[in-house]
Order: sequence, then C-alpha cells, then structure tokens
Amino acid sequence: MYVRQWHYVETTPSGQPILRENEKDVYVEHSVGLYQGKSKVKAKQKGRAYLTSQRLIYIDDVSPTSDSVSLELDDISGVEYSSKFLKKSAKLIIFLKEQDNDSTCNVQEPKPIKSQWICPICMMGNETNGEIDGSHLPLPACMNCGISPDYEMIKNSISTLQDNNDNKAPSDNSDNVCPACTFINHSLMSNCEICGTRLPAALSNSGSQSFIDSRLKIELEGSDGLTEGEKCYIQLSFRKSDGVLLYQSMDKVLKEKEREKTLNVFNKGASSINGVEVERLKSDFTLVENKMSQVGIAGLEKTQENQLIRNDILMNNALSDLNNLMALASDIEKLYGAANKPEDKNKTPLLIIDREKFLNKSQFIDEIAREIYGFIMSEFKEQKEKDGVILITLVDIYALYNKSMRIGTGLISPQELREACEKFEKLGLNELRLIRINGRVLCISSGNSFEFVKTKIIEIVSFSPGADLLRLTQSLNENNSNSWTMGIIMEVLQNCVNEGDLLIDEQISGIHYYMNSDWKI
Amino acid sequence: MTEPQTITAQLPPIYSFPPLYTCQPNALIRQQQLDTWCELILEFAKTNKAWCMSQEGTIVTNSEQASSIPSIFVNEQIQRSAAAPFIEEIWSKMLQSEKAIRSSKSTYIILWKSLDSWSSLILQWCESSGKLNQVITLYELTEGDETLDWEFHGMDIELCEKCLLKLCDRGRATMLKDQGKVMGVKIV
Repeated sequence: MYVRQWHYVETTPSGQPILRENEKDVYVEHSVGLYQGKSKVKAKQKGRAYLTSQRLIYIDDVSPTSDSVSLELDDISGVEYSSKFLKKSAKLIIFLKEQDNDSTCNVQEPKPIKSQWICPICMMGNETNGEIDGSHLPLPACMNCGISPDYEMIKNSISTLQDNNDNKAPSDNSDNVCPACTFINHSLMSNCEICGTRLPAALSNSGSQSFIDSRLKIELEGSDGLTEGEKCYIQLSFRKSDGVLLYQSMDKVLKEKEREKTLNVFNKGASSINGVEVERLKSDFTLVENKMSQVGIAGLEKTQENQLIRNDILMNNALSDLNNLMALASDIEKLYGAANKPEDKNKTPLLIIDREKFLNKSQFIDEIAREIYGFIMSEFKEQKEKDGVILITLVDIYALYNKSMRIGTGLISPQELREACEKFEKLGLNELRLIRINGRVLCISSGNSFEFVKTKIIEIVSFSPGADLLRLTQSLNENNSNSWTMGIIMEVLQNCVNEGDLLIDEQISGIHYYMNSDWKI
Repeated sequence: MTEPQTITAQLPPIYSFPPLYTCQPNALIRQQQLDTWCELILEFAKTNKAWCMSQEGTIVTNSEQASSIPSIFVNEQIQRSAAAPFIEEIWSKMLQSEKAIRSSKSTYIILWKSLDSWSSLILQWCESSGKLNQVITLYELTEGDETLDWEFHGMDIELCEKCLLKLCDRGRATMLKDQGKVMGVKIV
C-alpha cells in the first residue's frame, strides 16, 4: 500500500534539509529508522529526523540526497510513544490523517445551512443560520413578534435549505493558489511549496492517490499490515536514544499548530466596534435578513440602523486600510533602500543549529560540520567555479562562519570548528578536507588547491620580478572578489621560498619576490 | 691601476640581482648565494688588482690612500646593500673555502690564485730569470723592476711571505730573517 503522505524532500549537498520560508527547525534526533505500518522501509534505517515547525524530515545518513523523505505535520493526526522493551527499540508511532477526515485540519467552513420555520404566533416566515433541532436552547426569537417559539410547535414547519451560492467546490480551482502567499502551486501539491501552508485543494484531490513522486523511493521489507479504512500509521525507531525528547517536542508542535488555527479568527471575542454592538459572528443562530424582515416601522428602523453601522464599519475599514497601505509603502521604500544585493532576497531560511537540540557533543559537531561544509561551498562558489579549487585558512573560516551564521545561536569555539572540519570525510563530504600547509597552518582545501595557487604565484612572479605581497594579492584577485586571502598567499610564498622556487629581497618597503634561476637546489 | 666607472660594469649581471643582497632563508640556496658572493669578490679583486680588502668590502692598498672604489657590498645602481651579519657570513665562507686569509691588519687577503699557484709562479720567475741560489729581498720580488710583467708584482708583503713559506715547506727556499722580520729569501 502506498502511503501518500510521504513526500520527497530537497537537501543540500552536505545533507541538510532545505527549509521553506517560514519553517523553523525545532529538534534533531540521530540514528533513526523508518517503518511504514509494521514493516521496515528499505534504505531508510539509519538517518536523522529533523522536526521543524511544518514537517518531520528524515535525512538518510548514507545517501541524503536520494533517500530522504518528509511528512507534513498537517498530515499527522497524533503521535504515540512506545518505550523500549527487550530487543524492541523505542518507537514513536505517528498516526496519519485519512484522506476523508482530512477536513478537520482545514479552515474550511462548514457548509452554510439555513433553516426556515414559521412563527406559531404571527405566522411570519423566519430564516435562521444553522440547523434547528431540539437540542439547541433557547431557540431564536421571531423576527416579527420577538418571541422565541417552542421547538415542539415549529418542528413541523422546519425545512432546511442549502445555500447553493456559497457551495463552490474548490476542485474547480485547478490553479491551486496558496491562501497565504498566493503562490500558484502544482495541482498535486498538498502544501504550498513556498511557505508550507496547507492548500485547500489538497483535500479534494482524490486523484493524488494515483500520483507517485518518482523521486520518492519507498520499499518495504515486508507487508506493512495496514488496511484500507483503518488508521494509517508510520513508526520512527530510535536506535540509540530513547526518543522521548522528540516525542515531547513533536507533541508540543502539533498542539501549537492546532491552537494556531483557532487563533486566526478576526475580532474574536469583540462585542462592539466603535461602541456599536456587533452581532455575534460565531453564534449558532442568528437571524438572517431577508426581504420579508423589512416590513413595518421596526423594519425601517432596523435597516436605517444597519445602514449606519455598515457605513461606520466601512469608514473604519477604509481608514485602517489606508494606514496599512502607507505603512506598507514606507516598508517597501525602506527595503528598496537597504537591500541592493539581489541575493539577499532569495536567501533560504537556515537550520538553526542550537546546542540544546543535541544530546551529545559529537552529534552537534556532526551537524556543525554539515553546516560549515554547505557554508563554504556556497560562500566560495564563485572562486570554485572560476579556479576550480578552494583554499581558506581555518582562521578565516572561523571568523566568517561565526560572524555570519552563529550570531544569536551561540558562537562555536576554535576547537569545535577544527573537530567539525576533521569530520568531513567521515560524513561523506568529500570535496573539502582539512590540510596543514607548511606544517603549521590548517586550511580547508578542495582538490590540489595548494599547488594551483603556487603555480599561479610563480607565474606572476616570473612575469613581474620583484612583486611584493600586495602586488601578488592584487594580481591574483584581479578578476574576482577578494577570495584569495592574504593569509593563504603568505603561506604559499613561504612555502615557495622554503622550497627554493622563489628568492626574497628584503627591504624596508617589504619583501619582494624573485624567481630562482641561478641557484638551483 | 685602472679606474673603473662602476663596479656593476666589471661584474657579471647577477651583481644587479636584488635578492643577492638579502640572506636567503633556505639553507641550500644560501650556500649557493655565498658561493656566488665569493666568486664576485675574487672577480672584483682580480680586475682591480686588489690584494687586500677590509671587512666592509672596500679595497685596502699599501699606500694607505682612501680607495675611490666603493664597497662591493653596496650597489648604488639598484640601491641595495648587504647587511652586516650577512657580510660576516660571506667572509667566513671566504675563509672556509680558502679564498681569503685574515691578515695581521684585520683585513682580508684575497686569494684569486691559491697560495700554491702563487708560490709556483714565484719559483717559475726565479728559474726563468736566473735568480736561483741567490738571495733576493722581498722588495725586489714584489716591487722590483724585474717582476713588472709578472702577475705577482705589487703583491702584499704578508701574502708574499706566506707564499715563500710554502716554498720553504717544499724545501725549495730558505728565509733570511733580521730581528724576526723576513728580509730576504734564497730559492734553490
């Protein structure tokens, strides 16, 4: 059975999930295996589980780019924890919402139903929102005579009618527009690609059952024991830890999500606006105005009053809209002035690697290593594309990384940085490695970067004898931004001098370098 | 003695190579650099007919006149000069490779020919001019008219004594001393 709630997840080359715009990571659990129903999922038995504010992401340790999957928290109806027992490791059971009872998770309003009934006193035909049965007391008062009738007396006259105008099927809307950010998603998406908001079309899309994401590889070892119609569940098995922390934080996130949904009702609990009583928005029974109610002096008065209230509200809305517009305009102005760099705008949100999310230090170091790897690869992308190699001293990395990534989340120590860099190979991040040049300076390097810089420097020196450090730096960084740092160039020069490739001419103005053509070793 | 315009003109082009004046950190390279310096000094002394040089690299003449030629360690043309510790190192290399010997006047006698070849040259002169078995004064040998065409004419007295000592060692000469000072020599 194919559980449609699995989703493909995008990862960075260093094996970290790429988060959506408003997504925040909450907790990371290590050494986790996946089960669908009762059966193990193949090739997904050792990895990390990232709990974020929108998803639960499984990143495989072996091949993070192809074997990682995610679950939308919106698809989860509940979690249960089963503790370790003999050989059975601790598990987190995640119950998934069925397609049919999905509607509870959505803000979709119940279909508007109107009930008609006839007042037993004045024979006035009334219309009331909602369905009337004997359980709701008191019953609404008659529009005309203002007396609440007895249920027994009107039950024969009650007829319900459905409002056809409001009953627009969302499936008509093939565009699948995100209600939060207006991004037009693919019709098969269940959550918005940009902001992760649940899409309304996801509910009605029964066709998605047949759609299978080709990037997603779910193979089970045996039968999962799930049957149609029953509650569908998956399990997370904790190989090393007891997983209680993940359970607790997940529970918390789910509850928070539930609460948030009820939070977004406008003017909730407000009884009056500008001193004028407003009709209770969410009350079960409110009288519906219809043509019939506008009879008599009471009707005229009522319409006049309503008109006044409407005008008032309209005016208020207009003014506040204008205010909002002005605020927005000034914001945009500010943004335009501040953000000249276009790359700042499309910065994806980053994982926040907090010490508190990790049980022990080595896990923290692993995560840091992944982040540093990704950071270097993106920061020095230009250099990599141009020269094919990267070479940076650890000191520079330390400053860059701490300054740009760690502020607010706790700076890392030089020791931690070094340990993290030493882990690159173990984590399968093969492109960069830690090398020691001149037997003293630790550098992060890719490929044969040291030789590359060396030949480049020798080239420059042979072209212009007597070049000093400044001159060399300038000619090395002629075409790209300052990516070859002084520290590196100095070390390479030192190496050249020690190896006898270059000769020095020490002056007050600095050291000038010459090719060694006369004194061969 | 011819008056050269610049030292640069007399010496090979490496003399104008700026790194020559900085002590190179690489030990292997430094040895070669010192060798280059030694050759330069010999070349310099030979072209200027200089027998003695001061520690600072200027030529010391017998006449005690201040030499018009500047120090070899200063290259005015490219504005470079060797530092004192490095000069020291160059001299010790000169002594070590027997291309110079320390004289009594705390100057260096430059041996652009080795002591042995000087002494055989003197011997050659004696043989060719029929001075064998005769007593010759040192002055006669170094400043006399008969040696004008010979390379060792104008030789430093101290160097001359050392050359003659070599001959004594070989049993070809006897030194005549007066009050501890070598006055003459008899070459057999």
